[in-house]
Amino acid sequence: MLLIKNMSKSYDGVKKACDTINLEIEAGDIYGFVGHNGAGKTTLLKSICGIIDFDEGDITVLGKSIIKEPLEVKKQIAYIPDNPDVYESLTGVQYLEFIADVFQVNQDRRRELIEKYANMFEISDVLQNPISSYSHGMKQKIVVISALIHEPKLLLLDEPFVGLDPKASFLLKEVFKDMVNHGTAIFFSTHVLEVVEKLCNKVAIIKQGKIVAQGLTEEIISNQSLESIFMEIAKES
Amino acid sequence: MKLSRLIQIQLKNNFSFKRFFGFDLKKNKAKAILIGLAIVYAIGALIATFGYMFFDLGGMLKEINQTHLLISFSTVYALAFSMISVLLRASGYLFYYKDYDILAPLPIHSRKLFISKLVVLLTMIYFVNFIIALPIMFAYFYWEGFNILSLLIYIIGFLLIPLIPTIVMSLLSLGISLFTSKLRYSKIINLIIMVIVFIGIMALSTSMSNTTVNPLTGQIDLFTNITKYYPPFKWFNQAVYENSLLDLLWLIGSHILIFGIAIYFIEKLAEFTNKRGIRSHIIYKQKKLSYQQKPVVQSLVEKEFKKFFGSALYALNSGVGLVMLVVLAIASLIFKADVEGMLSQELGFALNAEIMLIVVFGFVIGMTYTPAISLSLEGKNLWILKSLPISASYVMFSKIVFNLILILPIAITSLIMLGISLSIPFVNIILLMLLIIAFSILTSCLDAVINLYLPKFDFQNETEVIKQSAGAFLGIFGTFGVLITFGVAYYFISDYISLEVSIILLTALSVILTIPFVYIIKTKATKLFLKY
Repeated sequence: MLLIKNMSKSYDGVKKACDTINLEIEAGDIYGFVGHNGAGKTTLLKSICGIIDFDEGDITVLGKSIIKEPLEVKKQIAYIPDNPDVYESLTGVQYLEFIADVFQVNQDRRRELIEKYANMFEISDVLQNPISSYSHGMKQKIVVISALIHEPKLLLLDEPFVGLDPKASFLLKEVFKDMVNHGTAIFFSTHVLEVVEKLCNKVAIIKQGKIVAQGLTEEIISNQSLESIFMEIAKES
Repeated sequence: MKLSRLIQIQLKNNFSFKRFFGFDLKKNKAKAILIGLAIVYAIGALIATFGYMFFDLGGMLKEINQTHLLISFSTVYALAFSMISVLLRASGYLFYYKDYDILAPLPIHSRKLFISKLVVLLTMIYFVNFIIALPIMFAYFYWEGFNILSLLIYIIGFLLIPLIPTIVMSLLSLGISLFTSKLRYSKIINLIIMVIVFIGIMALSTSMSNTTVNPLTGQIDLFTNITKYYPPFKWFNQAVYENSLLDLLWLIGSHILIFGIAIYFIEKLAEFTNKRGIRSHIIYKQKKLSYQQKPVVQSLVEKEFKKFFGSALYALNSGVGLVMLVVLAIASLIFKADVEGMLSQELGFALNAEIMLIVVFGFVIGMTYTPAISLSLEGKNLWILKSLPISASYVMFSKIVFNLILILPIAITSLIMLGISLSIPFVNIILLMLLIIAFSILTSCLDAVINLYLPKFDFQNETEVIKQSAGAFLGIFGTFGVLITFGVAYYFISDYISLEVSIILLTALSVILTIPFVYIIKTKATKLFLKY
């Protein structure tokens, strides 16, 4: 599904934000991505979905390169950033319709999915209100729904649980499980290590731009907790 | 924290070169050179137009021993600009500022916070006021003779004059925000109120009497009256003209007293409004949702419309030219002779009706500069467009289409109305229509390229993009530059070919000049998008 080969990226030409990253994510994976602040998590996620470019290597989604065929890749993915900055001049439903138009989701399907997820995340009654009147959590929910209504093959999320209430977090995890059962791959960054332990079948740990551990979650953590492994890795410098 | 330190931080945060231009000048030498050239061009244009008019007027006033009226011009312009500026900005700068959540928890007295915000607002006003006043000051001191004391009094007075309007208009701005916040279509109503106030101020400051010598002479009566009835202007005029220290003392004393008292009370009001925030209390009607699949370009253009009408500042600044064009076109049908006379007076008798209209429409199209700022206005939302399967050039073309939808229906309708009232032959109206369409496409593409290369995404307030960014600056002056180029081209060809052929050639020139901009958008947009 997602193949990252020798990907490197530097913002200043000196320090590498991502350093020769190699990673493979398969259909049905829920892949957790952990690392300290500034380790390169957001840079990698943004590079995968074509928001920023990178200096070396290649990233392919379903065999298509984000460098050579960016629009074809973007049709297959959805990205949720760490901050839900969306068009505040639109109403919730107008924003969702805009996204549905871009992904050419037909009228019946968009109605079905918008209603399903709006009801699930309990924002049906505010869909016609301007997004400027939403709380942070409501905006986060709109962004999550916008990522789900076009049924992406690969879902990329940057700190998806920040700002969501416990019920919404639980529901989102349930949505994740449902999606991977239908062949979607999910790759998300988080600082909540417990979520990775419980939810993800695979995990990668990034430190100063380099992947220092990756693989099946149960193999990585073995008999320890992910927190203790993360702390051990953080100490090694 | 010391007030001076707080002000220093606020000024640095609002007025650094990086904040103004959207990039680091030291790291982008090519862009820095481009900006430098644009500034030189803008100064040149200011001196050649505004400067020359006031120099000419100064000469006439000198003959009748009335040079002091030039001081009235500078003060009335300063007053008008201060009023419009404060009206548009005070709500966001003083009463509901965005960094309140950061500043409020800090152990800083609310009065210091208020003063620091006020200083930022006033600095912006002073900057523009001095740019407007410089040609007038030059004309005054040239014809009246230079005197260091007069200059010092002029500067002191110029710093004081905007203070009282700032107080009055900031309260009006807050009133409008509070009033419209309770209404469902608050933004549209806010926009309408702002347009009415704006046009009112513009109409007052440019009102004319019957004169054909210099367009500015028509404003003399009005300015004389304002000076007569508004004591600070009288004190200021006499202080500068007669070097009267007593009048200067009146000016300083009255302003310090009124402004000091106002700060004391408005500071408390600002603390209250910022703490409370805008409470809308709006209950949105929950209709049955209907979904409709649309082409992507339509969705993108609709998004632009919502953004445009969702921000009074955006609509007012980049749409006011069109509003004035409509007013002019309707007025031309009712007051045909007056409008014809006004156009002749403003633009010169030597020009025929078609050329006068080209100049008027050129300026209006130049003032409708949405593609020069709309990419910047994506700001923190840019990730959405970048992550979607839409090419960057497609996004830019949708912004161009939006600008054309904004301009063309209004411009064409106005052209027909003006064409009828000015008795322009039908064929020439059609030719002018083609030129307006071609010119609008050219300037929209030029604006889009400007914004592609000079975006400003990191802004705290939309004003920074709409009024103070390099994109806005170059968007407006770039179009005026194209217009001047056309004027020069017409000057050289008009003796040899007919008016109709000249218009056709200008249309063809617009089309030819558009091609490189379209090429840049098609080939460079994707790469540039990835950089941001």
